[in-house]
Amino acid sequence: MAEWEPVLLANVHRPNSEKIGTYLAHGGYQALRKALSMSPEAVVAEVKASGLRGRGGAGFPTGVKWGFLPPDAPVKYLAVNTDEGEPGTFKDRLIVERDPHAILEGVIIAAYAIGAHRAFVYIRGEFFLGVKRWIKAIADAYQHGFLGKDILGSGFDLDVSVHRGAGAYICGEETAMLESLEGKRGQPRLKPPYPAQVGLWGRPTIVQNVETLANVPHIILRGAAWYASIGTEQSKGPKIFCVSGHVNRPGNYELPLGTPLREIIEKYAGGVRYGRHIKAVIPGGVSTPMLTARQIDVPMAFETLAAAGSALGTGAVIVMDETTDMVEVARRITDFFVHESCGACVPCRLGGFRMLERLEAIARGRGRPDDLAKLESLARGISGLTFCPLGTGMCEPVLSGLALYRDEFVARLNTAAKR
Amino acid sequence: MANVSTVFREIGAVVQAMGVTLRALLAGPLTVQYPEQPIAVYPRFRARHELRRYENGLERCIGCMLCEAACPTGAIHVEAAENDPAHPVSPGERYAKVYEVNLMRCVFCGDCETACPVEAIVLGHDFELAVYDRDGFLLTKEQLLNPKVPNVVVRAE
Amino acid sequence: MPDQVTLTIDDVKVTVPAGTLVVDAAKAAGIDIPVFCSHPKLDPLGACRMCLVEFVGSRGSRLDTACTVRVAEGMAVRTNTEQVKAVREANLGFILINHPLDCPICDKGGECPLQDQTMAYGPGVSQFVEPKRHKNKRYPISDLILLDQERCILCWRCIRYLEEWEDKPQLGLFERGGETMIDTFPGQPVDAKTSGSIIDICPVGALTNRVARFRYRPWELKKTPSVCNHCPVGCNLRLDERVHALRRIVARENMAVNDEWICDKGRFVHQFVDHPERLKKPLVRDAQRGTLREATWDEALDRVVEKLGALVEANGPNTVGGIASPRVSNEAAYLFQKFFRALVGTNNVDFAGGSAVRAWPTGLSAITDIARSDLIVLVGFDPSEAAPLLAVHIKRVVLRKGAKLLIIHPRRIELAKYPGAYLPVLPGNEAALLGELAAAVQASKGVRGQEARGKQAARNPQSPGPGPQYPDVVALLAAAKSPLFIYGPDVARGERGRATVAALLNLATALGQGDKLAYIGAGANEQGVRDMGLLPDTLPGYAPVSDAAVRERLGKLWGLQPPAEAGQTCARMIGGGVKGLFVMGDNLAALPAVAEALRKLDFLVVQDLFLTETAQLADVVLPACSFAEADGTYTNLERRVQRGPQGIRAVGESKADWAILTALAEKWLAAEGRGDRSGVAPAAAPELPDWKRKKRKAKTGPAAKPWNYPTAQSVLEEIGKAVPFYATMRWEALGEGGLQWSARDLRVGVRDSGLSNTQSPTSNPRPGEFLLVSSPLFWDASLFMQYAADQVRQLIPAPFVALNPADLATAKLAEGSQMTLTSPHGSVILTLKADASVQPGTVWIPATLPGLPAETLGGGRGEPISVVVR
Repeated sequence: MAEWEPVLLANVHRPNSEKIGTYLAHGGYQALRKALSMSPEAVVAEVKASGLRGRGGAGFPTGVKWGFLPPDAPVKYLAVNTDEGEPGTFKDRLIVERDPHAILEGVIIAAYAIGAHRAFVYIRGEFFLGVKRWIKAIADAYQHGFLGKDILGSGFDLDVSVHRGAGAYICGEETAMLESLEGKRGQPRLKPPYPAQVGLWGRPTIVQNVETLANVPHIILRGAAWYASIGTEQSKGPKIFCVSGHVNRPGNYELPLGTPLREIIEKYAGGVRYGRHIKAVIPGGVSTPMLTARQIDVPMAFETLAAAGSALGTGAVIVMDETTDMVEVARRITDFFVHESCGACVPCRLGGFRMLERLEAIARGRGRPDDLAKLESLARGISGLTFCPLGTGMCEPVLSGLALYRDEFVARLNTAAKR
Repeated sequence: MANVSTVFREIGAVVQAMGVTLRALLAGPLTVQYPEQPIAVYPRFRARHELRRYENGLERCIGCMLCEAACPTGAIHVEAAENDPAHPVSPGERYAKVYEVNLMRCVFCGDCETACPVEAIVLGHDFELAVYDRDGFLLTKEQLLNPKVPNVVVRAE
Repeated sequence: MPDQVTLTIDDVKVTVPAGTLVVDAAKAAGIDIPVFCSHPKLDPLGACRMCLVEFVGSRGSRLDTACTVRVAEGMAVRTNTEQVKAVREANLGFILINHPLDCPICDKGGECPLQDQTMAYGPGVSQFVEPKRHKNKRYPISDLILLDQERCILCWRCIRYLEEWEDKPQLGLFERGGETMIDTFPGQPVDAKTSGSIIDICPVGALTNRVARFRYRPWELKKTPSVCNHCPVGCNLRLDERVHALRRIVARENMAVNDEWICDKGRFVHQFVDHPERLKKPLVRDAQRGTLREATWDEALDRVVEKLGALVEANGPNTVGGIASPRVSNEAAYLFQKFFRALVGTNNVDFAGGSAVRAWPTGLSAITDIARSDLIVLVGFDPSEAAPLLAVHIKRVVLRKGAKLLIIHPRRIELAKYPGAYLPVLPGNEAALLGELAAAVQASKGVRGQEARGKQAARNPQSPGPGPQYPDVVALLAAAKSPLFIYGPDVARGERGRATVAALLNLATALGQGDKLAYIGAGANEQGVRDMGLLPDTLPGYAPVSDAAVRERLGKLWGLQPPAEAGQTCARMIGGGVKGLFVMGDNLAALPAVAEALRKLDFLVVQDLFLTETAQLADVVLPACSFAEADGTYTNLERRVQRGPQGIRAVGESKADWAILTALAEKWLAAEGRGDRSGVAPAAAPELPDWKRKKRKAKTGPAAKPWNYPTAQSVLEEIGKAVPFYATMRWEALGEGGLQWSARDLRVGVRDSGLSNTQSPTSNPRPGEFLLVSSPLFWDASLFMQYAADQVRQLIPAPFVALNPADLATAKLAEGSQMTLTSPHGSVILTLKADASVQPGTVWIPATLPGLPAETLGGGRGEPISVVVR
């Protein structure tokens, strides 16, 4: 495969990349002009044809989702999910801080396509710079006539506003985000009905991830066929991979979907530091199951990773070398999820902290002989049985850690037994 | 000669029998001079009920009425009330405002002891239950908390 | 979508309506799926994960919550697999991780779903040895409810009840993860009027009733299904008795009346039933000392017969009368009026708020009609304060079905925040406003348009002009397909009330909805008391006293015919129209002016629960039973006759109202020397006083039939003969849900519907003067509240007067200051409050505050009262 010329991250390294002038100078808002000249149905069809799948983790086909909106609904909303909280993920932050207009253009096109006249940006409260950049970008877009009444003389109106979250990971889940946007406690809603039917304030709402929206202008500008030519059978387009952990050059790498994990780690991220060997890789953020060193030839695409027993998630590749303590990994990740559990449903709220207690005991060498069995029984009582995927995500590091590196856990127990 | 041996054998039997009598003569009286002398009872003997306290003086009884539910004869009557947090009668939120045992109904089965979750009600060793009028058979909480003989310790806490 | 869906649950085929939740379908199939968060009356949530069951599909089976998935054709569900069993065990294990297991002292112990389900589906042993998390125990969320955050399993039922039914989201989840707990918002205790319902629906003992706390264990309660005696909704409740004391009241489901909720008055105000101050023996006034002393029933009843009889003998039957309370049972009300009509020979029977109020005799068409209506017109009636369960139903139809509310009230009542229109009206101007609306509706419809326009033009120029919402209101009325028109006693009193009701009827008729007019009274059995003819001009069954045919029919039943001329009203009897008065269950003398009038009586009998101010003035006090101690039937505002069986033993020697009246009548008959003497001690005969002996010789002609009522049921049987539409009301037939008599059975001619508004409209008050509004307040100082438990009594507000903040500013008055209020009727000193719900130019003094300030100033007389505030 030829060297990939970045599309989504094309602007981020330019000086003053966040300014609207810079964006306009490099072909910004051309896609918007083109989209406004098309019919909304044509825009939806184009996105559908491109095969774009949501980049927030679930990978739902974007065009299909847009098609779910009831066409006769008088009021529809677009919600932009900038609540990037998955540990290991830092792609949205980069785009928001360095190239906010790229997303905003996608927002306007998406709103035009679905017929929404109001878009809400929900941004993680800790992204202080991101909030500033979003607000500035929106203000500039209003000034240039890309937002407000009668955008570019097309007769299409759109207002966008920015809302800061209060620091809950669960608000990255789309329905919890909608609850939070409504000013309520951030916790997931019952699905169905899905937000496309009953969303924000009971109105049909499309919730999109930042990276997904950043793809939209390119699809419009270069056409669905170009976009569909990138990637694999079921995973189209470029994807930003956030590589972190024990690599020499951690960072965001934009590559076509289907790029093998080994290539990402070894070619782009500069390989494992100090020449050590890979022990495990989390391929898509901490709520996806781990892969072992033997599995790193897997192509990074939705379907291939699912076949490998994991998931693409947000594309956050966390590399762990041979020195990594897998018990500590499980404990740290579980700690995160237990802290972020919203407390709404029983298994996640109550099972989680018991699991953490056991992991802490094992990590400190105080594990009891039956603790592994207890951990597994706890995880089985949580995984898949919770209201939202957070509970399942909480169990993945424990279950896959126990399945792949059980001896490490057992070793900790043995030292406890010797005492 | 058979007669002589028979005579000796019978004398022997008489002496043997008298031996029992003589031993009994020397053994002293078995009668316990009750009520001047107390009678020892077996450790698990079940007699008059007692309500126990904790060492800090709080009543054990929490007024849960499980003894009342367990009682096969309906001899127990409990009325619970809420503790004043400043002056608690028992630990926790609830105490027994009224605790009555009707000894005329009680069959001393000990089910109340078994039912009690805090080991508050126990059957003590005081079997001297005669009173001069029928009202006396109704033990009040005051009487139950202050038994004549000290509380039986079922289990050291 | 087909209406009926067939699915398979554990190999059982079950057909249920489409849209049913799987958990309910399983219930229909007789299969138990354990739940905590799911509740049939609340929206699905899926938080407790207890109801996870296997859905078997073409792609294998998956687990999902039965409480959130709706049935589909051909769905296959398995609830008894190993996987489901394991999930339930794991989940119960999780729930019990932090549950404190203080079951022995928990009020829920014995009726706790968590206990039951742990026994049925639990793991048996705990795998946890770690300490439990500690949160607040005994944490008050209101004056009436305690929260135990440790026991709470966070099913959100309480949160959802307050949100979905009360529309008062006053509880919420705080913190997150394992620290999550339910709490109130800072400084905002739960004050929903039906807040106690959350105690009933709590699946654990986290929410406890502060009044009933620790007073019972569920297994030793004797549970009697009964009806509430506080307001005319007639909510179904259950009396829980233990050792002859009423331990608590909980709600009982009746989908036609109260769903399964009851208000906080119904739930928490019951200590009056076994209050230590209850009258336990009859009292008679000692002739020498002039004080009340205890007496036997015989002595007390003999005294009543003797004194009342002497007054009748000396001055004629029109000099005695009876005033009852609209709380009493149908049986008591019937016998009360029968005693006066058939034995004494007078129509002098009434109740406070009886003949003075123009009540629509058929009440509300049905409470369930609220859920079917798209517009509810409330005129001078505040359901939130007067009948909270109606407010719950109204809020539900507004929130769920988008119904609109048109509120015409002098105060911006709580329901005025909902979509629709609020028309502020000065007290006394309701008729004018309604007349204008009716005219405008007619004009807009083009029906008799010419005439209506003419009327509108001739409108009194002084009357306040229609508000800016006027066209909207007409549109609202015209668009309504199934409206309900509800009015309360505040706008129906006196002559002005007659005009208001006539105007309202005109409006309803103009819209073609004349049958949707409803009056909702104040007394718990006001409908029944009216049905029983406890009115001076109306016989049982709403026949006017002038109706000779009905009088004859009743004469055959009773032995003696009631008189043909109307009797005296309540106000006239108090105002000196009678010399002897029998007061049953009403504390008239709480108002000093009335007490003064009652002192002038020659003879006063009071039959009540307590030694009230009225009883203190009485010559004979008869101790009566509360609703909980006697059998009786009660008719609610939708004409539903419901049973209120005896739930606890009568306190002391007190007797049921109907039993006292029966005993009295027997003595009366015996004294007259006629009638059946069984049941009356024959020894009474030789001691007859002189007046009776004379009478015995003198009287000839028709005789009163004997009163032979061994039970309340036998009284009901006679009511069935006296009141045609009660003919089918038999104690057994009423069942636990009651029976409604059909409004069609009562053909009341609209006798004065054509009455036009002859009342001059209230003009805007002069500066410094305010118009008195005395609409009710939920927590008032009524008799039952005064004898309620301490926790409830502290909710009775100190007497206050509320003014609009703008008026306060104009008059330079400070909130919290003590002001003297003077009206032509009296003067009171009250604490000033600012309240934006009060209209400028008016003062709001709720009815029945301690000391009755509103009544002292003349409130509740059906005329505008001008009040000077100094």
